[in-house]
Amino acid sequence: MNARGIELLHGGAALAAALFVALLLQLAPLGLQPASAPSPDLVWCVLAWFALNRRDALPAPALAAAALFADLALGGPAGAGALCMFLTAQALSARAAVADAAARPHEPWRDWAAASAGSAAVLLGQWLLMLVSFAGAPPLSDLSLRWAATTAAFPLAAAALRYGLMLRPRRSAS
Amino acid sequence: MSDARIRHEDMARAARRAVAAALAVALFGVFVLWRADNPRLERLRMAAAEWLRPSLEWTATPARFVSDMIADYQRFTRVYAQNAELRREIQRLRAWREAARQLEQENARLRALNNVRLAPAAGFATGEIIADGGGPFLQTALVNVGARDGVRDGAAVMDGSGLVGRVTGVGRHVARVLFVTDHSSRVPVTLLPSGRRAIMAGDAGAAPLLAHVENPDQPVAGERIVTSGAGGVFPPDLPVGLAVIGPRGKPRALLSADMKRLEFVRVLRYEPDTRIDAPGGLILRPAPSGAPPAASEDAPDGGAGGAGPNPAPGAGAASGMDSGTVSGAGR
Repeated sequence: MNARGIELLHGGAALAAALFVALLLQLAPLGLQPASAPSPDLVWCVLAWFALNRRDALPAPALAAAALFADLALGGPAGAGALCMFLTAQALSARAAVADAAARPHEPWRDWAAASAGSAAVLLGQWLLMLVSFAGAPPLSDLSLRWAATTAAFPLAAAALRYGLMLRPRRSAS
Repeated sequence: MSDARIRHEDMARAARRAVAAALAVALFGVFVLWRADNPRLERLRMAAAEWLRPSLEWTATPARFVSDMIADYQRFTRVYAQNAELRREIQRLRAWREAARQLEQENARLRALNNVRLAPAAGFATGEIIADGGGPFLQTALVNVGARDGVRDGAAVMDGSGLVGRVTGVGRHVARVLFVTDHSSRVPVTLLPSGRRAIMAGDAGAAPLLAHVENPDQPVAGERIVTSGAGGVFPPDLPVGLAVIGPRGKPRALLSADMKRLEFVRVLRYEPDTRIDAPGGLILRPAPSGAPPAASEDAPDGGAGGAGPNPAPGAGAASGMDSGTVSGAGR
């Protein structure tokens, strides 16, 4: 196996491990009270980082499967979160490809802003889907707290992926 | 050469887009199925939960430890105030204990006078909460008891003090609980002592809304809330909480259950009265392999050989516990 294959394998294994840990952390019974502080969407943090930095390790079917599994395991509206996550991660991936083509330097704060905007898009997309399907949408204030928590957690997740799992951003991936 | 490569790249890009579009449509289809309450999707969800269960049980303990540590620290910072509050509470409870003892004795005397026969108590399975969805869209949790322990879909879930929610999905070893605070939760309740009916509707807040209250002109604040049993999903008279008036003047339910520190819950094995309202309920159960084959079927009253009438379809066989006995004894 050549170096590229090993890197891909490492990326795929790291994605699976990071998603598993993110799911377990998100499912940990810490915030049962309705009015308690919202937990960040760690699954989104992992997927957004991969979409921006290692899209070679995040093919569309794997992204869709991961998002759907997260939806099912977390007990949310099945399909709504997965669809919004899939579309937003694809958009982030396309944006990263454009940045690569323009040979823009890699700046972490841009990733942070993109992941934060993506998180808002995921939450609003789900909210709209719930609203138009008469499924009972939560107040937007709850979503804003969730968005703030996810935005705050993204740098930590990015650092864990970059230095904990030794994942190198690969901006020139096709 | 260059043209061929460009064409190849264009085709690859088009194929990627087609795959992405197909996946997006498939995910939307999953959402439509979820909205249509497709049971297969719920089974898939429970299969995912079953797959994650060993890891969840493994991580729930340290998570609980951290959560308890934070809560203990918070309590420690206000220990003096709490101590004084507890002393006052003890004084009040002593008075209530005396009143309760007198009422209990009076109740027992009256029951003895009237020869009251009590309904069999509902059984329950106690489980630990091992996972919490934590999202803003659905307020659910996973409990480590399932079909193996006699838990059934729709069962009421309580902590030591009051109603917490109901079971919305059952796996073999786990069950998913939808909290009463969730948007989609609706529980028929009765306000006591007035006896008025209402619907307790979750709205993601800590105190669910009391909607459709009978005679809304009468004050509701201070009334006790119990389940009404309407609809047959929950047993009647389960304690729910206390009626209060919310910040916008709407009646709300202050839950008795301690949602802040929900650790162990009881899942009730409640079997509503089974009524034989279809001919299928009278069909006899097939004879066991060792029994004489035709004896019970030929008997005109269906009771030959000691076999009683079969409970209504779906009433007892699915639970695999004491439901057959309950449905028989309840009549």
